[in-house]
Amino acid sequence: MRFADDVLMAYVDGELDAATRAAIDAALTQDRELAVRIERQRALRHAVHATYEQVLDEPMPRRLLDLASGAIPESDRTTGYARNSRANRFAWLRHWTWFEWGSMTASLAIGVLAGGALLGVLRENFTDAGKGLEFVSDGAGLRARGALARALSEQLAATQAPGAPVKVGLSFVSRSGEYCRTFTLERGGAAGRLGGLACRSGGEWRLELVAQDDRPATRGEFRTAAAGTPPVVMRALDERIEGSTLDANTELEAQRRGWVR
Amino acid sequence: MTTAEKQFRAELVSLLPRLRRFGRAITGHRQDADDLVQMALERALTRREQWEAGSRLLSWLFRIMQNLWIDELRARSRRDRVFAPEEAGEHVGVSTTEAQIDALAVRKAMDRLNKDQRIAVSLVLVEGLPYREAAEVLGVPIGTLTSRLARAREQLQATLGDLAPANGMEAGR
Repeated sequence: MRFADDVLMAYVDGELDAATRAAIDAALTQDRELAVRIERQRALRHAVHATYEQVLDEPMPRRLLDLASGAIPESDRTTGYARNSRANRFAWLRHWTWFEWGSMTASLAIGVLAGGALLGVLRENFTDAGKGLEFVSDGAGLRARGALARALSEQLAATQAPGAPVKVGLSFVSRSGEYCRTFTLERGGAAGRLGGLACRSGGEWRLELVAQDDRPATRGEFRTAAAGTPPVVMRALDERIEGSTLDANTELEAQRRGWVR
Repeated sequence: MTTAEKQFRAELVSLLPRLRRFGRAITGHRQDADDLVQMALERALTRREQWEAGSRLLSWLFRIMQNLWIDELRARSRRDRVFAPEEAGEHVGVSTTEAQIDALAVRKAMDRLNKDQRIAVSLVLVEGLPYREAAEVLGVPIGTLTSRLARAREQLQATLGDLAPANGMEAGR
């Protein structure tokens, strides 16, 4: 009797009914080919299982233990990303300080900024060689000015200069039908690197989000040429994007039309 | 902390090693796996009322993890143009023993499975879940689970070659 492969898989997984299992056990005593086929399935199951077995013996990371046991002090739980589970995504997020402007939260966010050190960071980093701020802020939110606005309007991801102070990243069309672009500013120093997302409306670039890398500038493990975009900016992109990102051709086309759809 | 919460947390702590192993098996990456466990714990803690007492906590957590991971893969596929492929964190260090070489080969073969096959293999071969329970974690019929398992195994066999000791066991005799 010939047993199908999936029956043999179920056999080694211990999922066969008693009758079929007995039939296989009986056949095994005389069918050498069957024995080989079963041994092969068993060896695969064993090899896969054994590969991950050692994870059980690894030391448990403190953060997981603390989170599961509830040992995290209350003060830590209410700061940073812990407040926002959607933001608490994957390791690199924890290295970013970020702030976001939306139509609803604009006044609040700017209030928070004005009360904290981040405004100074923004001021310092968005300042174009002493020529003034690279953004204006009023009741309508924050808009890019100066070199930042120029870069967003003119630079193409594929052709921008390696040393450009502003780097544009991905361009896409948002669900509300606007062109949006991610960007980073390489400034180095204590302030680290800034990245953000801007969307085009009313002939201006509205800043949706700016994030600051608070790690020392020398630590650049994921900072390959293309990968400088802060993860929270990528997250903001994920939330807004309609379809996929623009490729070089559609980006060029959008730029020629002045980012008007 | 109430007694119920203490119990719930104690159970979470006891399951941590298996959550990490499952995470490692489905992501193939240490850091991703631990981040995935962290996110799943956060979700489990905030949505505790959604866990039906009586059902296995482990299965519920596996389900949360696989949902989060599929979301993450979807998001990453859009970012492919910015993010270089992750370093295979598992491959650092020099393999010396035969077991380590085998494990490396298995991890590479796992990387070549599609996500559905990989999760199915992780639930049944790595975590040893019965078919019924694995199918419940995935929210699919048992037949779907077993066909994913069968395809995954064929592909693993094809990638890994014959793992069974072949000494003298030829089919034709």
